[in-house]
Amino acid sequence: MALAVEIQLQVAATSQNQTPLTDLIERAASGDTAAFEQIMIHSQHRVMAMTWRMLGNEADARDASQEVFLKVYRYLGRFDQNQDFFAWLYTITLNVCRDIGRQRSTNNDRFKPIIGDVGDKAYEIHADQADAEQVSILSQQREMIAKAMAMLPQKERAAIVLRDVEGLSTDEVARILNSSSTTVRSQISSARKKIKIYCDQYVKNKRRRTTDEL
Amino acid sequence: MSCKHCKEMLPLFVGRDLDESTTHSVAAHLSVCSECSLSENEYRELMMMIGQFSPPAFSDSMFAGIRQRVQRDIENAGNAPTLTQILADYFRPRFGWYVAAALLVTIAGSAVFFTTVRNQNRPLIADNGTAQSIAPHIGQSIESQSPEAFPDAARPVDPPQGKVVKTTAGRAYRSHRGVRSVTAIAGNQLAVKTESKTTLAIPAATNVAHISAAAAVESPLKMEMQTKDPNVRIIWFAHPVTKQNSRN
Repeated sequence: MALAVEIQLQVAATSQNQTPLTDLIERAASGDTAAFEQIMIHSQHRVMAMTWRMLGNEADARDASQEVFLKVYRYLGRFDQNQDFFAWLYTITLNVCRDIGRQRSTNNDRFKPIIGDVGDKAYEIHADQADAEQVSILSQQREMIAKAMAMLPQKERAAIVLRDVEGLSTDEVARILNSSSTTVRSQISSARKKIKIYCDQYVKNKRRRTTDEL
Repeated sequence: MSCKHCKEMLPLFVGRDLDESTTHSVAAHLSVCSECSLSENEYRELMMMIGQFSPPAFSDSMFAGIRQRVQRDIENAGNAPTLTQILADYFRPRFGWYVAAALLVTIAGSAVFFTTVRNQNRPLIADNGTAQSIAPHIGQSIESQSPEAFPDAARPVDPPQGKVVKTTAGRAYRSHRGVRSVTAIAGNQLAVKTESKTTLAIPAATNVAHISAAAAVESPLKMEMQTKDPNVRIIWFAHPVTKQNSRN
């Protein structure tokens, strides 16, 4: 009982110490770098995950995240407090990823395969929760989805990441992508179909290879 | 609803992206069609896999590195000169030179302007040759004209030396090229001919013109003009230059 009370007190103290995001944004917009540091800590996981999903590798995601935060700091003065901060953040993130993707396509360097160098790291976390077979299945699924995502056009990829991975509504996705809900629905539908076709083909090829090996 | 139409709708149906009526239609079809139902299950599995499409766990040191680089870039951007400063730095060393050049151009322009204006307003002044040749012609003019011929003469002036020409026509002739000869014609006009024959006739606002020319070559040529206002008279002297001097 005493422990529960102590935890409640700690939670209350933590929530009191936490500055609201709007306050941090105001301070950061007026040049307070400490406040901006707090904003970065608050949003770094989202930004990094989004850039990684869009660009497909850690190095590019790191560079993109850095660019995103610099842009956020530069344009924070123009941010409307009535707007959703994370929607605004996603818009900037997607724009930065689009620029980097465009540079990459001009350099004839397509999306790198997401899995391979960093893919297995994610499963190390779950290794104690599941057996080796389960880890292997998840790893294969992950590789398959990553490759399927890499095949998608950038707009469809952005739409499906925001809708199915980040869990935003279609209207929110449309707002972030500066598009209509109908267009976003069409993009999402097309992306899901393409992923399914790719996955079906991937599984068939895998089975054939296993049969050949046997 | 046909199977084809249902399969078209399935990607949106599993994500609850369809409107209510279409959702009901698809659900009704799925309850009776096993093939479409199987496809629906595959889409649901796929949605689950996409939802698990998470990045690897990034280390705190990596995030700290990103934040550090961002802060450093912000500091560098803050120290970076603004556009105004860049322009000021670019123009400051040259500013003195620009001012000096502008002053020089202004002074040169002013000099040219005033010289031109002065030349335009300069009264007729005979050079040495003219001075030599003007005297006999003036004398002729005086002799041929009587004092009664000048009713507008306000105030005849006695010249200190030389002869006086009076004219009622009040016309003087100016030239920008210099005077080569002066002759008295038609009794009351002075005609000044220039070498280039670009004689410019400008009516002067005078009623009486007194020209006092030195008989001697070395003495200065005095010219007087009486304006309509009897209180205002214009007098000027021309220093004749002898041919010998001009040769030297």
